[in-house]
Amino acid sequence: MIDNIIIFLKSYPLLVYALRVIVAMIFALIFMLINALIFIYVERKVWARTMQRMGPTYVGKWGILQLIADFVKVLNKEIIVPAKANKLAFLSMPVFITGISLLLIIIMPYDYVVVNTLLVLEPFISWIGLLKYAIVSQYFQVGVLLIFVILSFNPIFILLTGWISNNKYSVIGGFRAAAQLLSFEIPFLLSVAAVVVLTGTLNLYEIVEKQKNMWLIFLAPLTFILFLITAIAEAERTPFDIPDAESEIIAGWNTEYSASPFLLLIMGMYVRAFVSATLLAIFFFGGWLGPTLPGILAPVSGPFWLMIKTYFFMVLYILIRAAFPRYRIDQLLNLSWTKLLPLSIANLLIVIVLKYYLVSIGFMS
Amino acid sequence: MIEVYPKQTIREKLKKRILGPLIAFFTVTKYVFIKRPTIEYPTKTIIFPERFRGVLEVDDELCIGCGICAKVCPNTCIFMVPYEKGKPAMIPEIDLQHCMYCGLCVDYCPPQAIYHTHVVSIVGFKREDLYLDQKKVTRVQELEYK
Repeated sequence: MIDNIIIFLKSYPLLVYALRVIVAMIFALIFMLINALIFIYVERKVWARTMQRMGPTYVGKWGILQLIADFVKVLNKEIIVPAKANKLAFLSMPVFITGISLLLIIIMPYDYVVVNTLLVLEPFISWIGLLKYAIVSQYFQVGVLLIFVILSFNPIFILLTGWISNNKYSVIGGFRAAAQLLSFEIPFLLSVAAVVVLTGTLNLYEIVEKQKNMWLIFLAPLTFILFLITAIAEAERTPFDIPDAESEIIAGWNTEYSASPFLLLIMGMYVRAFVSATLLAIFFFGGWLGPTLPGILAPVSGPFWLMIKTYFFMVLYILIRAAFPRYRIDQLLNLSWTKLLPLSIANLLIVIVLKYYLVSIGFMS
Repeated sequence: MIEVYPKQTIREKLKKRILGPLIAFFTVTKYVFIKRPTIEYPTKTIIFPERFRGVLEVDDELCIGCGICAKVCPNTCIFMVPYEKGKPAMIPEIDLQHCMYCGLCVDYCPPQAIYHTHVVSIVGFKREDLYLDQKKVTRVQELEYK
């Protein structure tokens, strides 16, 4: 029966492409949503431990069902639309923002992670070998550029969301959020440009391949620090979370959102934070390269190392959130334009010289 | 006279700007791993010190019904009532809503029949739950740790 299906599919190549993309997207979406939930749970527990308290412990063992309880509670709330706001536009904004953030998952190697963990079952179920064709993200030759294109849609929609709420505090919050995201994009792009110069390719898989000899953090530590700071700012996490600061400007640009729309926005925020943690692991710490440990099977080794590194950075983000106070908006913009931008330009020049030197001694092609 | 402070040198500024955040970060990380004093009451309790002043209990074999505890109580939360078992003739009943756990009744009791226990839960759904009548006042620990 499998052979019949394969013969049928060989005559319709477009259908095969579509099926591969759809399967990859389903895997990546499920993986991403589960990881967003894990992120929120780990954040609540680790942040509590820094304050010497426990975090959720009551609902389910160790509190893992707490998020499901919160989800059900939020669904029961009323969706409030301001009287003078355009109802269709108001309710469609969270869908746009979250939808565009979720477009990131097809470029990131999450389908590689899911497919490789499922391939462990290959000795038992024979047709799982076909899933090898569902890894779509390795064909994005300009993957890095596409990530930033998607991330740069955020300021537009956040500005629009703040305006559409018919609330002057939301407008102020929207302007501040857009200013922050725009002004941190330039050092962000310049530090990624340094990575691209060092590896010579825009494809995420090849960037990892080029790190076989040495991880990029040892070659360019200043780039790592710059990328860390700007990635935290782009993901709108503390200390740069003035847009959704929960005790200043009430809640910034998403003040007027109540139940399910708010849940979508929160989900989008955590998706972006998780993606930026993964990017840190891929660009600087060698992605899925790592020694094959004895207890872990060969295909799972790559995803295992990638996830370990991503979770490490996740916990780092949470500890940074617990340790530092929030930047004021003028301090934030000052930091970005007067300090990070010259540093990132200088860093790019240093990296260009370094790359020339490395090529001349033959360390990197 | 306006005092002019010396300008911070670049070295001091860098120390403040870089060492400060690093120290803050590592302090916070340290707190994740050290033993924490928070416990999950009521599934777990801490061990109280020996002389901890919890809810009062009366031992009816030692009590002589003198009524000194009722006279000494600053809040008048102890009331002497006739005891149904006959021995002693009167036994104290304690109103936990007004008791302030000062321990005067324990200090003044001649046979030391009234004493503090390590019970700390003073909760109930009705006001009657917070009033230790003559049946409950001798069995406080038993009822708590059922």
